[in-house]
Amino acid sequence: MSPQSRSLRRYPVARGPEAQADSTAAGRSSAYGNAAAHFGPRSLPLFYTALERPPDRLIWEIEAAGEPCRVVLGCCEADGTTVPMTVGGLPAGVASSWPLKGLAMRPGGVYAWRVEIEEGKGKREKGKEEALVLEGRFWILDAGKAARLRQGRQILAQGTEPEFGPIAQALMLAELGLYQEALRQIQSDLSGRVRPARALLGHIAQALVYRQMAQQLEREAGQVPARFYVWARNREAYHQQQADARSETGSGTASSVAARLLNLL
Amino acid sequence: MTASPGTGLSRAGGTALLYVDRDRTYVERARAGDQTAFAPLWERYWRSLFTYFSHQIGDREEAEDLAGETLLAAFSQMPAFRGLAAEEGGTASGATFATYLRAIARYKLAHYLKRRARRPYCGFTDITPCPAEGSKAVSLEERCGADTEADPLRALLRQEHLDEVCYALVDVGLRSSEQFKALLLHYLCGLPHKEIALLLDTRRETINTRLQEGRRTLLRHYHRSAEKRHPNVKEGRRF
Repeated sequence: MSPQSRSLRRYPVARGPEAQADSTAAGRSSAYGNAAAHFGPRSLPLFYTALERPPDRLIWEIEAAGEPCRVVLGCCEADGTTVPMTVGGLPAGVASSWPLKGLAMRPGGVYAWRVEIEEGKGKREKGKEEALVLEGRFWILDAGKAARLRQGRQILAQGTEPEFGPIAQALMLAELGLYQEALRQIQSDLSGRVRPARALLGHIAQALVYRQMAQQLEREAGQVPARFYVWARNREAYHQQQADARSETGSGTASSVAARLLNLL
Repeated sequence: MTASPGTGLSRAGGTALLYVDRDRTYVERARAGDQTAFAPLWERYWRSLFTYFSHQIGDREEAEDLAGETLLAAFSQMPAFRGLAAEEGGTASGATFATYLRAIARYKLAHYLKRRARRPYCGFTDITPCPAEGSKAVSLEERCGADTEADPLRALLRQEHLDEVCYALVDVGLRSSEQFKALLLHYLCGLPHKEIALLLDTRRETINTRLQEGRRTLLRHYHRSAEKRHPNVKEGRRF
């Protein structure tokens, strides 16, 4: 059993799929290493990922932004307990982030975090309180996987076709559990795509990363947040429709022009 | 005198010799569009092709790839294969399926050796592999042989060809993520089996299998997509 599975089974996340699903639906979050910029499309459920290095800051986004929050981050021990490393309150109106610098995070360590809305609970109807909780976990790559990552980067740097390099790299990152970085890689690559075929390839790669993430969640934790599954499936279905539509209509004017010209030659 | 495709009648010293293509039944079925006819032909010839390529290039994995590519090329061009037929005057013309396959295998081998001189990796259809390590990076368009200044139409067609490969790969990805990864890393990124196995943390044999299975699916989607898109373009001219 891996450290991830131990922590997932014992952490309060195991409150049932409905409560868990809120971490994908109510907002998104990410743990940053030395990243200076924000990233990610609106619906990236980055609540479960490996990280190459210990992050400097935990950043999340939630519908009830600006409300005071309580942040808890702890280390998941081998016996299943979570030892709090940092606990604190965030006053109203400040950015949704929490500094992690200076915390002793070790390679191979699994860390669970949780953000709760503190105030306004009384004003909300019972049952909706649960929706205002974001939680997730990340783990730092251990030495073995870090070596594999270095080796993989070397391989890809040596001879990969630049046009498909980012997707190849994302697939490699996802193999190591670095889902957040993999998705970021594809996302930034997609922004520069002009040919629909290449963009569609990126979308499929993105869907595969989510599928892999769901598989690992299922394997390690024994269950996947219900809405995450639905979300990942819908995403795949969307791409399936795109691919089918493309097959029906053709890729555009250039194709038909070229085909006609070729017939004349 | 006429004979059905697959048989030939030749006269030598006044004696009539009847040549029969033992694959005639399957070939005719395949030409009529029966996909199930490919399986027995594959079974019959894959091993001998593999042995042939193994002896010639000394690399088991590449030999497997080439054997598969040869058969797939033969199947994709089946409508153009005339088979063995008798002509007026009693002479036989055309070729048996085995002869046809040998010709394709020789062509594949020559093409492979030519490519290997540039880099020891193989590519999908006419996408040539990446440059050797340490050499100057070359764009995929250049590797495809497209000279945009000299022939913009060819460059456009090459790009479209690559688009078709991408679309076919998308179709594969929607069905099998493992095959998608192996195909993308091998054919679009030019990585050899060993390195793909390292990246995906699996055995080389597994990568071989995924590539073999994935290639069949990829080609099926590729041809289907190309036919839908360019119904009036002759297949032979597009590649």
